[in-house]
Amino acid sequence: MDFQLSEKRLALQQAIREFAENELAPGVIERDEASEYPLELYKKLGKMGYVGLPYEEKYGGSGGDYLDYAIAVEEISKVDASMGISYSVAMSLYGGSVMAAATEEQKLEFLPDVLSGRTLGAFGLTEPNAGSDAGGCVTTAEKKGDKYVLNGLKCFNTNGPLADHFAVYALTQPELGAKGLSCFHVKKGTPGFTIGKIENKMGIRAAQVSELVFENCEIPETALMGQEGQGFKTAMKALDGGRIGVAAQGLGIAEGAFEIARKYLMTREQFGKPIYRNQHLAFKMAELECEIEQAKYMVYKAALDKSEGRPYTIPAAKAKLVCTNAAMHVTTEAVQMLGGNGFMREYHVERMMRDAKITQIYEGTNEIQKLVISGAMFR
Amino acid sequence: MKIIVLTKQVKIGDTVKCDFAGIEAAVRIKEHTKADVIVYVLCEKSDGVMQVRDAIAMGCDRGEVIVADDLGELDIWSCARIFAEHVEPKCYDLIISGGFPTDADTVPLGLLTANILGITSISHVENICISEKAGYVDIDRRIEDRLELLNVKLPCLISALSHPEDPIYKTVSGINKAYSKEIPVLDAKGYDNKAIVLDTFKLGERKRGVSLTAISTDEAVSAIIDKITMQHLL
Repeated sequence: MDFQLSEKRLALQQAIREFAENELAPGVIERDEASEYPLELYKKLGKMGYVGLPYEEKYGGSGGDYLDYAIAVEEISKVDASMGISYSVAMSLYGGSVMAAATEEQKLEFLPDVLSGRTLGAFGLTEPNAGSDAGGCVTTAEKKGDKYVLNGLKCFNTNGPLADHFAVYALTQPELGAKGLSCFHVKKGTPGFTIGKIENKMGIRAAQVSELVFENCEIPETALMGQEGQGFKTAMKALDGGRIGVAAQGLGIAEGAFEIARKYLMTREQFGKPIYRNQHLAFKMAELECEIEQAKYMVYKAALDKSEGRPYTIPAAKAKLVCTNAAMHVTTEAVQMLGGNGFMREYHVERMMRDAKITQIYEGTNEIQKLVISGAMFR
Repeated sequence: MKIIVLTKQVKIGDTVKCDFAGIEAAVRIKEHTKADVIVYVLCEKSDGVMQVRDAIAMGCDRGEVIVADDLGELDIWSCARIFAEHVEPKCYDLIISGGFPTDADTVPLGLLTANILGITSISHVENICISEKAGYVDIDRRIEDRLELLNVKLPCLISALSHPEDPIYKTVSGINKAYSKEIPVLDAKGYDNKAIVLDTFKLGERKRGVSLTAISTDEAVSAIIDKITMQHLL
């Protein structure tokens, strides 16, 4: 076992950190307030090769692995969790769906724009009545000649208003439920496909989340990725990868808030001394640091399991559970330790606390993660 | 176009400071000209390997580390001799040295190196681009409150200013390239140190003085005497 990152990974980590601190940190408060996504900065990240990190170069990726990618999500999310999830969805959920199900020809067509960061990808699975019960979708894809006709509504789609490529899950055999679910590639601008309501959210406010509306939307049969009826498996596989991304996002949020709190405790004086000299606060920080470190090892392990071809469903679920709980706990404590200042926008931790909440919910709620973990335990 | 970048690490206490101004200037030229850029890092031990890898990750083509175990004791002239010794046999059009933070924020290392090589040197270069006139470069030189526009014949040596407002980042392909190759580590040669630097340490920041205006010469002298008397210097 080696707990040290290689020099090459450290260089990658340092490079993304510099980019996040120099480019993403300025304006992060304003973007949160205005719900504006920094698409140009995302494209800049793409030009530098950091977007397609976990995928092969022939698909527009950078030829790295999932640990490189997790480190990138972590570093970005330390500063801007909205960019963190947008990136994670494009890579893990859209990219993961295509990689899991598409033919070689489809991969070469559907991936390069997204993996190079020229545009974003999105993932349409959740519906108003199919959240944790993802198999309960009602969106249909009816085969008509050499086309499929999509009808239905997908909700809570991160990157929805910005993406050019979508992995959409719809029932080709509604009577079979989850076993009748199939995965399709849909391009922005396809007639019958529109962006519905854009959500006004508590956190990750700069990320754009919307409904996807399909009304007699015709797509070619070549847009089917994988076999009919294999969609649920494809979605679960993509979500396994997505959980590593969200775990890394949670870790990054926790680390970002922790560092702000650490600096604050060293500089803020009350009763004539820096407040870290209060043992209650110092011990609190010691506990939080341990929590962050365990979260880090868990997500790095899950990422390496995926990269090295080992089963990663359970490690990803565990990492997601632990990292996102750490994000919520650390940010809440950070707000408390910063006192009145912590409640104010310019200190960042209140935004991080709002951003942290959704990490316990999306990519499978943390209750679903416990279901996955315990399910494997008592099989 | 062949560009050589010279950069020297400075050790202050336990901290090694790396100067990236020259490397960034070379990468900016490379973005427009496809120049071939080689970096030489002068350092103690082999600390420079990481900086060469960083330079390649930022866009340089390759680099070498020159190790002088007694670098901390060397004067600027000796450092210039080392650079000149390593550069002289090479083919180059342009040599770029940094300006900060080496040499106590002055640029004699570049000037002296150019002098030994017998080529033109230009300090405090803000921007450089290839001139329409073949074999020349156009240079913006910043001197305090002025900008000087120069047309300079190649080969020449410039000391580049850093551009913290427009950083150059390492790319993924650059990092892959940087870690896919061995970085040569060479021993410094060709120098004979005449002056020894006994120690280097960081000074406290200078405090802003008090400005007295619209007073006579006698009053000014009196004010200065008062000040140094108060500090027990007189």
